[in-house]
Amino acid sequence: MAEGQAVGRVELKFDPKILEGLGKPLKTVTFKVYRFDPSRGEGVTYSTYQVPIFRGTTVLDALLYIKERMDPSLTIRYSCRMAVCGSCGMVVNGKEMLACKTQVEGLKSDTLVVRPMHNLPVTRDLVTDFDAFFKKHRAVLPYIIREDVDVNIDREYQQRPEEVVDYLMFANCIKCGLCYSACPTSATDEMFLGPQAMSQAFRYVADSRDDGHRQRMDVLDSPHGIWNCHFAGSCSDVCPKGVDPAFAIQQLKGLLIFRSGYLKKKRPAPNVQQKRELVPER
Amino acid sequence: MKESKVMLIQYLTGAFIIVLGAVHFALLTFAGGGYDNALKFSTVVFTYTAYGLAFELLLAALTFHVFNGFRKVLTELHQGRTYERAVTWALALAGGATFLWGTRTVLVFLGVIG
Repeated sequence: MAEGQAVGRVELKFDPKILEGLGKPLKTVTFKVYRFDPSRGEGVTYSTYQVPIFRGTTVLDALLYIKERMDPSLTIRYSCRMAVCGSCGMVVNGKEMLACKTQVEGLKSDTLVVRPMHNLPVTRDLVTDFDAFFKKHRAVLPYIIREDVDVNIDREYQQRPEEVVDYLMFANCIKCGLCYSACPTSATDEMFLGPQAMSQAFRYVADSRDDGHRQRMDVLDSPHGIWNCHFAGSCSDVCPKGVDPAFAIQQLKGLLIFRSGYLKKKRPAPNVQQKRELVPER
Repeated sequence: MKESKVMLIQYLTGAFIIVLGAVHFALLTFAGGGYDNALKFSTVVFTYTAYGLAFELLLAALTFHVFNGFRKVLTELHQGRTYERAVTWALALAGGATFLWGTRTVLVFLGVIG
């Protein structure tokens, strides 16, 4: 069995006994993991580990294996382990992916270079700071806005199934930040809203219950808003939930330039109480 | 001016440049009876005199498209309120100067100024 080692940090011997009860590994994969600890002031290093891979082992499983048995100082953020929480986004062999959703076998490589997401400041090792990301998310007012009724009342809004389809895909966003990391514009323009925030803006603009498109469009139609998108499409390429932010951004551009009249005329769907007033019950 | 208006002009001038640019190159290549005569002094003078307005429109479209595009590139590479204002004003002035100098050339060819 290959020997585990951490280059430039601590050296730990890999004990084959720890594999007892796990079955026979398919192969051993070399993990080169990005290491950065601001308190040490050493800059960025890469630690190398030999990890046994079993059928179904995910990148997160492998990283936790390293943390539990080889190098406890490795820092990772994760939670649900089922591609729902969006906590374990990282860059593996140059492509953004969720560590919990990505099986090592599927990457078809004997060496995996794992690093934290791009375009976000690194807190430590594979953990990034999401403050700027969520600040931009909040800037597009990602919630239903109604001026005509109190949104806190307990009556539902009327919405047809085909109106749900208009935004359903974008409601699947788990805010993992992979699209933001893959975006080439976010790499150079730190004030750029980013694909996640803009796709969420479209999610609410396209929602028939919403009446906040004017406020939202003011944010989007700014020097660092939707017009800086180069339509590289990498955001859509890496999304683990099948959301298409590039499509949303192009739709927003179209709405602003060619269909501004539609936005002016758009009226939000009534809630149950309003509908009874409009169409009295028999 | 809102960014959407600026970008709408950017897209329209881009489309305009493709059309008018094609006319421009066609005139330069084929006017005067063919490629051999295209660069003769009399042919060039005729082309500029006959299509002066078209050249002026092409100049206006090119000036806006180029300098606004350059502004977008520069403000994407570096951010900051002061920096962005400085870039916008500097390029607006440079664009204005370019347009004026080009217009002067067109007017000289048209014989409006000596």
